Amino acid sequence: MNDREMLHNACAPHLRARDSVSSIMLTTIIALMPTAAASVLFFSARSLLLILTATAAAVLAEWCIATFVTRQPRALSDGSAMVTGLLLALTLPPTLPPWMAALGSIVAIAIVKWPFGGLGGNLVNPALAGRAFLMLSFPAAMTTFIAPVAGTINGLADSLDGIAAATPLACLRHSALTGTLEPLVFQDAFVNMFLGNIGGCIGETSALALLFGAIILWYRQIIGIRIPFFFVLTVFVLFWLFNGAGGILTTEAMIIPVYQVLGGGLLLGALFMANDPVTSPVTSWGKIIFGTGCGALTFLFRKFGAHTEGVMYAILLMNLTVPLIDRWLRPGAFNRKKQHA
Amino acid sequence: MSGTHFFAGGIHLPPFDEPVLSRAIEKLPPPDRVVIPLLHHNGAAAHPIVARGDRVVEGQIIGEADSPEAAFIHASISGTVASVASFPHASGANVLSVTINRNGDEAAHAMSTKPWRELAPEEIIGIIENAGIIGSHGDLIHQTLARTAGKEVDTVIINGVECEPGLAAARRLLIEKTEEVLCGALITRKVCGAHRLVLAIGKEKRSQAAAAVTRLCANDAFKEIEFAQVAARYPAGDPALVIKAATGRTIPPHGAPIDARCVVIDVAAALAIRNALCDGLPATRRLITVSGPCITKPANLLVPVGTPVRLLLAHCQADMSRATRLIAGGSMSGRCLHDPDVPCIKTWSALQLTNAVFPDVRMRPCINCGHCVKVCPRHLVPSMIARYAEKGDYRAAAEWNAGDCLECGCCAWVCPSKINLLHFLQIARSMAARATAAETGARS
Repeated sequence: MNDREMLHNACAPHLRARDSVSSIMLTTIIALMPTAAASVLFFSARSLLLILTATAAAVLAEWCIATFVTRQPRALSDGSAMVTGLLLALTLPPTLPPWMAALGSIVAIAIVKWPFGGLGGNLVNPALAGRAFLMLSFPAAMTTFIAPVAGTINGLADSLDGIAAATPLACLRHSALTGTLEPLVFQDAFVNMFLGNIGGCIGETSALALLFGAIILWYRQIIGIRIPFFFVLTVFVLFWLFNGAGGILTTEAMIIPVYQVLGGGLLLGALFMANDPVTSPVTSWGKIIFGTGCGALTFLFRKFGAHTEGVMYAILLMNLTVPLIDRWLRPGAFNRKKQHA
Repeated sequence: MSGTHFFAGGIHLPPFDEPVLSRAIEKLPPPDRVVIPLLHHNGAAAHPIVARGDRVVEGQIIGEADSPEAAFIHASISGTVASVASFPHASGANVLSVTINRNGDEAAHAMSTKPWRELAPEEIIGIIENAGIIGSHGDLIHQTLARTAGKEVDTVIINGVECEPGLAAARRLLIEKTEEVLCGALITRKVCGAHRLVLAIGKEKRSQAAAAVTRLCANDAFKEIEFAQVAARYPAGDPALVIKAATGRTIPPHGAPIDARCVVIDVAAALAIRNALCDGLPATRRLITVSGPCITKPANLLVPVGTPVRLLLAHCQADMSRATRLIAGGSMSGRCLHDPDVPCIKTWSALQLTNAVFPDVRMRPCINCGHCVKVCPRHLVPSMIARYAEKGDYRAAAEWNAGDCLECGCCAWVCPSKINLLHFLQIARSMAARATAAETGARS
């Protein structure tokens, strides 16, 4: 018996954890299923069509590049393209023509992801960058929102004058500007906003479904709590302190931050986009700074920008700071005081 | 008993209570031939003082330590020296080794003994040096103890924590040789002049080791021994973490336990110290846990140093047809043996035969998930260090404190991209050490 030939010589450790990149991506897809289901529930087959088109286009683009350009057909099996396509679809308004969704996916994969080295190399979140491309190319189509199948676009029972076709955030801004913010009317919309029965992008409306998915990921230790917590907290606190309605203890002052958290794409962005491992810092303090920065930028864009939304650009800008944050916050080694590079 | 001490980082490994823990210590039948390497640790080899054809008695010195980095080596069986030649060694290199063929069973040669309480610390250190005792981490025990001279040491810690799957030797010694181990602990404390003596053990449910020690500590002789329980997470047995658990102190960067006014001795070394002082026996036996998926009869074997690994495997009915990796040490940080004919050495405490092949392990690019950062007990960023090491930028890797790596392997275990982070970190660490050595050399 010559057992010399049978023994492998391998580097320690001789045990490995079960989780792999593919399993992480699969879990992410599963965690996004409640949100996808909610979008179909509220916006009917339109959202299903968008999800399927965007996902298929992303996977197809990945396949083409992996097979013909980089010649790493194995790259397809990690499932990251599917996550990108799905996430992009969830950030689109229900009336968007499907070909635009497909175009966004192709841009996300072929321009944002692969030229920087594919999975793990991209500087910014591909799904969000694809959305930014669509936003710049088709601003009208990207900002046309409709009411859900069984509800109103802003979640209010009675439409306010002149803002009948506006999402909760647009509604809030209009009312704040015209001084017609009526607490009782606006409070009525809280339940609709939490469930998702309001107008908006297909995946962003249902806070309930998003939270459910995030809990799955958190339980499986795939996402951490720091980035979304500090993101949402910063937005809430800043809108509470600088609410523009006067005072910080009035009912209006409390309504505005709740609207800002539930009414737009903040939860989708905070839980699934900002938390993307590739484009977020690795250290605990880095994650806190990143989340807080995203929140502060979102506040600035929403408060002073031309659009009522700002989550997308906030995350994209903070994505670019991640290499700096990671280098700046190099952790002090064991028993050593923190050193700055 | 005080509460459990937790630490940041580390991983929880599932198969913690190995069935091998319940196996009593068993003596391997004396082998017909042993091959005793003259090098057992990260130091210098001993100088052989026997030649082919010489008759040697068990316990007789066959390798003399002629430099401070070398350890005395003794014959582990009585017989005739068959050769003094280069032989495959556990490190992967070939090392000058003494082969002894057993004939007759002459009684072991014992050093003369005096009651240890009457000896001065220097005399005890001398006896330990002559007994050739080496710690599990490859440290020369007499050197560790000699360094305490003139320094303030207030705590001696007996490290009975083992947290890797497959290891049971330290706990087995605590269960069966409780009194001997604690006696070794008292001797160590006397040498160091410390007043505290702490026994660190891993936290377990219904720990037999803890029960055995608690029972004995009711005796007056061992009354002063304290306990520290360390969370049963890998790598809880790391001396720095054990010191943190026992005293709350931390070791400064690149420091030794002595900088935290502590001396850490593992259980097997404590037993060896006691055997040398009380029975006059040099370190020629080692308790080795043999386990793993391809071992039919896992066992805790007391083997003469130099026994070929093949004999241990045969004794435990190893299934070589399924085996893929023969590992010296635990599954997390152990080293693959290339050849089942290599001899057992003084620093081993486990031998595993696994059928791990990782058919599903395919390396993918780093996705920056930060899991390696979360589990690193030394608060490093393994992903970044590995990236620099892969590119050959060892200076940058050193700036990211690659030199502080413990080589525990938690980062590689957890990595979802299955990057062999430990491999890169080992390279980065050794290159960092080399650069530091070159710098100090240039300065002086």
